Amino acid sequence: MTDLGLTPFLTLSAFLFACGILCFAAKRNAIGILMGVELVLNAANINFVACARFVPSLRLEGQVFAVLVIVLAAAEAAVALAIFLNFYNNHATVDVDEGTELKG
Amino acid sequence: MLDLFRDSPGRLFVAATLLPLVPVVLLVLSGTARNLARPHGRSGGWASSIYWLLGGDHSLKTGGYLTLAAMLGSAVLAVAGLTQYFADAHDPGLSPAQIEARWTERTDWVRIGADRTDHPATALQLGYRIDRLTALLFTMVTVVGSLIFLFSLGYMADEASDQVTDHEVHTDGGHLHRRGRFGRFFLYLGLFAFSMLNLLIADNLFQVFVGWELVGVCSFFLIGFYTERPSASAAANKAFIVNRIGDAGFLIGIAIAFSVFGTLNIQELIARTPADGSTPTGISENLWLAMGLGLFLGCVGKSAQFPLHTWLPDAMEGPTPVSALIHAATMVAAGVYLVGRCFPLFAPDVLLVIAYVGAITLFLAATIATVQNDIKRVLAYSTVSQLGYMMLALGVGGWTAGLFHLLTHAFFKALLFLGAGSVILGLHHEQDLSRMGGLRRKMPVTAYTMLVGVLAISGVPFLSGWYSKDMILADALGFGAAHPRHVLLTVLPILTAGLTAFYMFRLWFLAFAGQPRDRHAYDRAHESPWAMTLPLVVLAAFSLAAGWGWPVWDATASYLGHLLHDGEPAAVAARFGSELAAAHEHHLLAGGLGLLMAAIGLAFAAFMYVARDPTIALEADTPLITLLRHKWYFDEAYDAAFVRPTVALAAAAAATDKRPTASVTDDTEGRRIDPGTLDGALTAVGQLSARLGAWLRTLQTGLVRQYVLVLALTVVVLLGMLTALTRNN
Amino acid sequence: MTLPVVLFALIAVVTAGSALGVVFSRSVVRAAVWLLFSLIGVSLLYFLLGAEFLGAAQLIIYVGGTLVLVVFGVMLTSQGPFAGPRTRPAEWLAGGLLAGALFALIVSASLDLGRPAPPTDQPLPGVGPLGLTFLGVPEQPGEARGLAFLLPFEIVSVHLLVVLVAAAYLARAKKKVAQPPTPGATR
Repeated sequence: MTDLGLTPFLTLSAFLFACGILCFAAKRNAIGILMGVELVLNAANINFVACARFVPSLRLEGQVFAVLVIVLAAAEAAVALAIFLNFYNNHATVDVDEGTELKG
Repeated sequence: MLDLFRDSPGRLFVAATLLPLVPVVLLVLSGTARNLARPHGRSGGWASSIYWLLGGDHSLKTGGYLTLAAMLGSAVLAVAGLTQYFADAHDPGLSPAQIEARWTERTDWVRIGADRTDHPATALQLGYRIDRLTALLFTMVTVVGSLIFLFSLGYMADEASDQVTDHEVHTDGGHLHRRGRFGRFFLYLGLFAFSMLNLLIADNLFQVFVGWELVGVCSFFLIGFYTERPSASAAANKAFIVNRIGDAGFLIGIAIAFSVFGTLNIQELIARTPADGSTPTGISENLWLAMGLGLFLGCVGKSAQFPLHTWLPDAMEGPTPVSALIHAATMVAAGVYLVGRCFPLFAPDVLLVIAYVGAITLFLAATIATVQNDIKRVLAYSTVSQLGYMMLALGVGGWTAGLFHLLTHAFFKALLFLGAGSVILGLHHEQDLSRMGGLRRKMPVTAYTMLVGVLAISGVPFLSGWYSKDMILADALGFGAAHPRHVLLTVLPILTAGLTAFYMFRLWFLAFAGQPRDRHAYDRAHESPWAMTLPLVVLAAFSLAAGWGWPVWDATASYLGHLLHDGEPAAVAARFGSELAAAHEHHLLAGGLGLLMAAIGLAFAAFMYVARDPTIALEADTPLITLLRHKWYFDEAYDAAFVRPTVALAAAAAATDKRPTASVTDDTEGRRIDPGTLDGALTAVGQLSARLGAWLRTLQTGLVRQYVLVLALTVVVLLGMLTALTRNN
Repeated sequence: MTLPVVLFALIAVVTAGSALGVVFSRSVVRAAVWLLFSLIGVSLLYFLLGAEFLGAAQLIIYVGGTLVLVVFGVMLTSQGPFAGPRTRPAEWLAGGLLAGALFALIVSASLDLGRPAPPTDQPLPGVGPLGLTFLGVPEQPGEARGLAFLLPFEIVSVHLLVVLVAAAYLARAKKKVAQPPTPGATR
């Protein structure tokens, strides 16, 4: 493990983050957006855990944090799904571009 | 209370000035109360009783009586003050400085700036100063004013009813019927009296200016008294505007005086000027000339000299007592009075300008008067001409002559105007000379008192006008002898003496001599009531006797003339000593020439209007007569040169405020924003904000994905900034 | 080329590739499968980093819970062909640029961090130290007591319960499915 530093993990996390952003900016399906959100959260989790492992001054709080994030992500996914189901009920479609009631 | 007057008898004159304000205030209050109570007039209750107490549907004559009483009171106080003044003047126990202290008082009204170490704060002051000229003029104004007020009570009697018919205003279905305005007339007269007297006793230019403007305002009200007549309103406007042009010059003069000398007190200003009229220290020569010209310009406007003479004939639209009081005896005299008072403040070049302006005016007006058919117009131009005589006299150094003529002219011109008023009323508002004739049989008192006036103005010996006009002609001749270059200043007045006699006798012959030309008017004519003929008689007596001295046949021996001469400023003798000596030498020559010209004028008038049928002369129509009848086309020239361009400019200015699309129903999309107009520019600003808002609105699409993109962009930007800032740590 | 490096490379490739698959797959069901692989890859990473508890938790909760939820969502809202609406290329470009910029930014920030010295001969942390960290018990006796995370953990678990109840309430069927809206129709 000596020659595997922090940087590769951070790079991978960044890549996952970018993919997640792209996903929930470009996908028109509501579920697709949810998947993007999951990617972003996972990227953040990798960051936390890698830092917990490689930065000595931080003890294992990184992993603790990652646990909390996982639980909250699950909660958030449930709520998001409920919202999307409501959206589907009101608009009869999952295309988020149809939800323009907030158009100014 | 007499203690007030014992040590400062000048306060007699102040009291006389303030007395006419009392009926003014009472009239204003009662008029307001009556107007407020009018709606309740028929409904009973205390408002109704006030209404009927104050006259009800028509004005009471009480206001007129009160004003007359106030004016008579002023006259009494003035005479008392006059006698006291001359008693003081001949009192050997009083030095000139003591006399000065008794007859002058002043106080600071508005302080400007702070007190400095070397001089107190400059201030606008209120004060009075009585000297010979002021005392005499004040007395004249109050006496003539009282007589004219008495006359007005008779002349304006039909205004005291609740139904007045104005024959010159035509509404659909006949003449205009309106409520009478008796009280208002006397209100204006009282206000005018106060303003004029204030002007006379003022000791500083600021107070003079206040009085100046006030008399202008009262003149405006009185000329436009018959407000429903467009000609009257136009004449009132014209008078005020032309006067204003003169007042602009007056203000320039005042401004120069105040800024250079720091004071507006006339005596202090005179003290700063050298006796021989050269430029005083501390002021450049051009500025000194400008100050004199500025002050004179005010007098040109007020006294209707060329080129600002066009307002006076039009001012005849006002009631005849107004013409008599304001445009013959008092207001127009204010200009001459100011020139006389401020005489040492005029540079020699300015005095020459004054003389020439006077000379041109007297000739011009006299020529126009020879062909006028309206009785009041003849008198109006005569007034302008005589004022020109006074200005000429003052310009050539005849201080005494000019002001003496002012006094005598007030008497006989007021007489002539009141006589004309009597004729007009007697003929039921007929003013055209070509329809009069033979009235001496029907209105003898009017006819023969007016004859006295005509004789006086023509300079017939032993009447008051002879003494003053003689003096003027002598001074003009003396000046012409001393300065042969300015021969015009001698020739014109002598020539015009003949013209004066001609047109005045023409007026008398056309109105009173010969056979009546309009039988219908002649049959209805009647003599006026005693309220109107009494002032005529009194004024005729004054016109006859005002100039007398001992011996009566000596033109230089006039008592009034000597009184005035004693009050002459030192500057007159210092500057015009040689001219006045020459005048004295050639006195008889001047008198003879004047008399000769008057006789020639009388002869011509008699030939044209008595010996042969007047209608030949009345209907003559040569190009010269047309020119004169159109008043040398001055009004047309002014209209083309000043009035039309101003109106065009005003129209152009108004056009910038007009919208490009005139329709109100245009929607916002269709209306152009025209930034060229001010309105359009302001609207464009508002519309710009609206458009900006509308554009910003398009950013809110309601699309989630777009919001996410914006969010991501913001994060990138912020993160980038953060990284860049913390890069080199 | 030690074993951890090789393993890391392998897992990274799998995870990144699956992430790309999520983004670019047209069908939402296929995207869900790619997501599954991505999550499994992440969990393997956790194991590599010595966070065994976390890896297990990830597999159970994320893969077994959240992903199933997602698939259920897909199932409940499917409307016909699984292709679904298309994204315009311009939007791909915009998103791609932004994502690229973000990636570059974060990577440059990470590179700036420098390489901290990895601890030598230290055994990988296991579950034990994690539990002790939860309780805030210091590793060396005598050190100050650390933060105890047990309370936040309990709060989070109650929060999860509440959220799930709320989600169930929100997602109840209220009315029958409305007709697909015609283009340009105003509400």
